[in-house]
Amino acid sequence: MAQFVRLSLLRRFISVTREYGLAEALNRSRYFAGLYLRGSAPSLFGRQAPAAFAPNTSFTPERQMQTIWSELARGEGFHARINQKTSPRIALIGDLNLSQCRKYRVEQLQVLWKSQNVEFDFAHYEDTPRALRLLQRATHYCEYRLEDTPLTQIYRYEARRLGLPILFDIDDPLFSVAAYETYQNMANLDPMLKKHFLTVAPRYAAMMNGADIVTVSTPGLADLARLYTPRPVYVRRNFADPDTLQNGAAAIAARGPADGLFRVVFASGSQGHEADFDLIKTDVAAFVTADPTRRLTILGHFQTDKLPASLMKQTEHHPFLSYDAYLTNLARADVAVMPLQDDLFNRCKSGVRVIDAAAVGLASIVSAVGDLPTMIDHGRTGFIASAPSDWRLALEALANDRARARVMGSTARETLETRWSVQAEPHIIAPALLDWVKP
Amino acid sequence: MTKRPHILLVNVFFAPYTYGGATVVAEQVARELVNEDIARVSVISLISRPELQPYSVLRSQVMGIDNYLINVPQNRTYKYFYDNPEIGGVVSDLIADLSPDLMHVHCIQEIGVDILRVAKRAQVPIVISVHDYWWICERQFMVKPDQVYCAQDPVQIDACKGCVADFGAAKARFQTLQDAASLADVVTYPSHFARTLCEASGLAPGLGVVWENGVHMPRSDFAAKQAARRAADPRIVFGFVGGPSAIKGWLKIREAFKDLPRSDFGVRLVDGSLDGSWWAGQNLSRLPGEWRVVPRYHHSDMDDFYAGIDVLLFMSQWKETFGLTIREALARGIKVIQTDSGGTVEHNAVSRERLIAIGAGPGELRRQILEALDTGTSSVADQPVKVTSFLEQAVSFRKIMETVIK
Repeated sequence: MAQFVRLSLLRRFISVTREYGLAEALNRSRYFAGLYLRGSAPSLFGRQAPAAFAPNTSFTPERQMQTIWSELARGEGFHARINQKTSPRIALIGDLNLSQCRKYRVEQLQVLWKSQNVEFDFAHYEDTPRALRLLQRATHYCEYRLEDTPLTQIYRYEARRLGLPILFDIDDPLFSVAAYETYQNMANLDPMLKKHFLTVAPRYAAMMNGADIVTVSTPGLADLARLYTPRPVYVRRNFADPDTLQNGAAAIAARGPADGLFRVVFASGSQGHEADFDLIKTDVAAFVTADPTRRLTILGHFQTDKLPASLMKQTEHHPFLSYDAYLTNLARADVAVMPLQDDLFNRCKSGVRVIDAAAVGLASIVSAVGDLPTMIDHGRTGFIASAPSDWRLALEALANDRARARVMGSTARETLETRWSVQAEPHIIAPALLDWVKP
Repeated sequence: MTKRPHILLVNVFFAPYTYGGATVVAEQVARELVNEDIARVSVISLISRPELQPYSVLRSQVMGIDNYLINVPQNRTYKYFYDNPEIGGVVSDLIADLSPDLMHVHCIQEIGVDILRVAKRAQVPIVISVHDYWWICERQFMVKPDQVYCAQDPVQIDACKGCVADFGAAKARFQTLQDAASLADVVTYPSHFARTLCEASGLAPGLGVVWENGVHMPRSDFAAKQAARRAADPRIVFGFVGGPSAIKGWLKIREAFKDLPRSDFGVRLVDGSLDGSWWAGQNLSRLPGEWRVVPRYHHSDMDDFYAGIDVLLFMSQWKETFGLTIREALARGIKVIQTDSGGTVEHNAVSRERLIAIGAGPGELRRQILEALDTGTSSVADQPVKVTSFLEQAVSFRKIMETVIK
């Protein structure tokens, strides 16, 4: 209290009372006393009560931005294009909820762009403060797997305000009603899920069409995307980043001694892949049950009750686990099988499962669908099963010559390191995309 | 020195939020540096918007200069007003991104001095430009709560006990700011008066140089505008740029005019507030003459204001560091009646015997007003006085840069 009875303050109080009246003098006294008691100080930004300055979470992001945008516009400072030659820096805002997608379409981009001396930062689209902060520092804006919502339009509008070129990246045909309507895996899922995908497809198409360029993960997806957008569509394939190679090597080292069993592994990172397995179920069942030392290993989401009872007895099922645990289990197998139904959706599929298998030194047997065959050197790193009978033949060949299976796995790993690792080569990233970022 | 160094300019306000004399100087020098291709300039300034996250950053751009606006919350502690590590963190990131060759620190009240440590760690040379007494006075202008000039010379923090609310906190602030200022390579002052006072008060002794502020020069049609106004209405018009506060001398002006035996003149009062509130509620009807409150002017219409007056009243009751409006008036041949107020007298037209002492009664002001009225517009019309332009100020900054950028 003694702080408020200083002579100079009393003089000031009297002076203000004379000039503006007692009410104003008391009002000012209250304000300054309040500041002092809160341990604060007078601000250039006005006398509003502190509560008025607390972040107002009731504001939607678009309302938050509209206020400041209006102020900037009134001050003729709205458009802030990059007018200096500056090193490229990409800000990616994306849906990072799916761990596999985050790894292959976001985190490994950081490695790729750093190898090109391009800075790269990313944010989940719901982390608005970080997302907006990254945009302010960027030279290019990359949207990953975002649908058209008020929030994503705010980011896009802010990017346009800042003069950032916009790239839209996607690794599933989420924009395509045709792909989801005919996707055979959907038969095993809740019909509401399919309805959801069909409903939101136009929102992804709208995002593609609002961007300057589009990137996708496979040539098949690029072909499909071009049916929905006149924007340039480029391919940036998934690859084996240093983490994948290192984790794969660790899984190989932790493999332990052979137990005499021959394991065929089928990995399923999402729901509905029973439809794919159906393609080879009979052949795999016949192969596995023909010898008591053979096993089917299923990793991830799978309804095992759909397997024949005889096969179930020789089946090991590990539920969906972390990426490291997944690689550890994968490394215990002798060959990986990757059947895919031949439909519009699967023709867009990338070869990430081949990458995972090769990372732990496994050969893969794959369907001739999507981008899977691209990743296989037939007969050296695995087999491409063009006909139904090819699956059984390939499995028997490897089971009967385990040394060959091991050599094929090692070759797959070597090929992964030399051809499918981080490198700015045309089979990984379209040269036009490199030019777009570094003109 | 790099051919076109990149300056990271820091000022509490910057376009599109232009507010205050120091901001005008910072903006105009920056624009001249860019226009003349002397330097690239990026800016850090503040906003305070409740709907945005604290310390979020938005990039704005006016006339090709990027302005990184940091959003500060209002409920900061006293210490955060002068030393804010949150802002230091944001600025550290910006320095990493922008790789400036120099940090030029203008008015950093509410930004704080952590930015100096950050720049030093990043090995970015620092020039501090002092515009007021923020570095040596918690109250920024050496004006006590009762609106009386402090008059310490030099400032000794122990003598601030009766003035500041929390002496311990004020002392810690004083020491922190002095330590931070010592990190600078050069400290500029707009006047010899300011440099002498600040250095004597312990602010970075020996690092100071005088870097005189520039002003917006009159346009080529100013004289014609002025002549047309005088032809239309030969009455003398006085101008006052400032609010109705004691420290700006309003009470002296009001007293001087109150009993004036003449009313054949006009007075223009400029409302410098953003919301037009400064002069609201002021009853001017009983004062002789024709009184009019005019809104704050932008530099683009500055000539219109000065063409409308004949005498600038500059009655500041404290020792200012420079006095921008005096130079603007002198550059246009406008007569100035002024107080002996620190750096405001360091110009070519000063007449020592006519300076009115701070704290003096209204008599001398009234005498000079009557003198101006007696002589009329033809006699009060002085020749423009040579003052520094913003371009000249920018060019002289280049010389300062050459001494600190290797």
